[in-house]
Amino acid sequence: MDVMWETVNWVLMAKYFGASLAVSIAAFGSAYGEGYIAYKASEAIARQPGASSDIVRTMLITQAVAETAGIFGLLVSIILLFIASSQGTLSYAVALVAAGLCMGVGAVGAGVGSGQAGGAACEGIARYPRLSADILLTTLVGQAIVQTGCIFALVISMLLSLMQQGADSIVIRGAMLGAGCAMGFGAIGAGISTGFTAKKAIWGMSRDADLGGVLTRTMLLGQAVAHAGAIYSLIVAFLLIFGNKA
Amino acid sequence: MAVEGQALVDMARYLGAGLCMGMGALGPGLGEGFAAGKACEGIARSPEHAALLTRTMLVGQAVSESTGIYSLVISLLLIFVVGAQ
Repeated sequence: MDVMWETVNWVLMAKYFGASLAVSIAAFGSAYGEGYIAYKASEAIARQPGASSDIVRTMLITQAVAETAGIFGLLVSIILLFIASSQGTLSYAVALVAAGLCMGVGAVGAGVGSGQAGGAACEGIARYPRLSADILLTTLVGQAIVQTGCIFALVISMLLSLMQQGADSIVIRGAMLGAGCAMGFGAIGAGISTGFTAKKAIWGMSRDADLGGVLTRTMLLGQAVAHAGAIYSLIVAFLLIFGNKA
Repeated sequence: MAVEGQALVDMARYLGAGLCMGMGALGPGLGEGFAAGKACEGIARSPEHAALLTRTMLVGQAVSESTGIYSLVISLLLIFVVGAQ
C-alpha cells in the first residue's frame, strides 16, 4: 500500500512517540526508587516494630518525592499529546521526540536517587526512632537537591515541545535532538549519585545525632559540586536551542 | 529541498555536541556524588577529621570533574569553532 507521507503525519507521529518515551523511561526510575524505599521500610519495621507508624509515614512522604520525577514524565507526556501543536515543520517533529527523550531519560536519575535517600531515612528511624523528625527533614532537603537535574530536563523538554521552530533545516533538526540528548543523559549521573550522598549523610545522622549540622553541610556542598555536570549540560542544551544556526 | 554538504556537517556538529555533553556528564555526576557520600560516612565515623575529609572530598571531586570539563570544551568547540564556515 502506498501511503502519502506529509509533514503533518511526521509531526503527529513524533508527538505520540515522544509522549510514550517521556512517561515510560521516567516511570522506570521512579518505580525503582519507590520500591527501594518500601523494601527498606519493611526491613526497618521488622527490626523496630515499635516505630512502625513513624516509618510508614516517612516511607509515604519520601515515596511521594521520588514519584515527582515520574509525574514530570507524565506532565511532558500530556503536554506532547494535548498541548503541543500538531502543525509544524520537520524540525518541530524532531524537537518533539527530543523533548520526550530528554524528560524520560532525565527523570531516571532523580527517581533512583530519591529512592536511596528515602530508604536510608526508614533505616535511620529504625535505628534511632527518637530522631525521626530531624531525619525526615534532612531527607527532604537531600531529595529536593536530587531533583535538580530532573527539573532542568523538564525546562528543556518544555522549551523543545512548546517553542515552534520557524525555519526548517537538517541543521536545526540535529541541534534539537542534540539538546534533548545533552540534558537527558546529563541529568542521570548527578541524580543517582547525589541520592547516594544523601543516603550516607542520613546514615551518619542516625548514628550520632550531634553530627546533624556538619553532615547536612557536607552533604549540600558535595551535592552542589556533583551537579556541575548537569549544569554544563543545561548550558550546552540552551546554546543548541537558542544559538545562531544559520 | 536539497541538502548540501555544509548543512550535513552542521547537523553532525550540533548533534555531536549534544551527545558529547550528555554522555560526558554521566561519569563525573556519578563519581562525585559517591565521593561526597563516602565523605559523609567518614565524618560520621570520625567527626574530628571533618575538615580533612571535606578537603579530600573537594580535591577528589575536582579531579573527577575534569572529564566533564573536557566534554564541555569539546562541545563548545563543536558548536562555535570546528567546521563552522
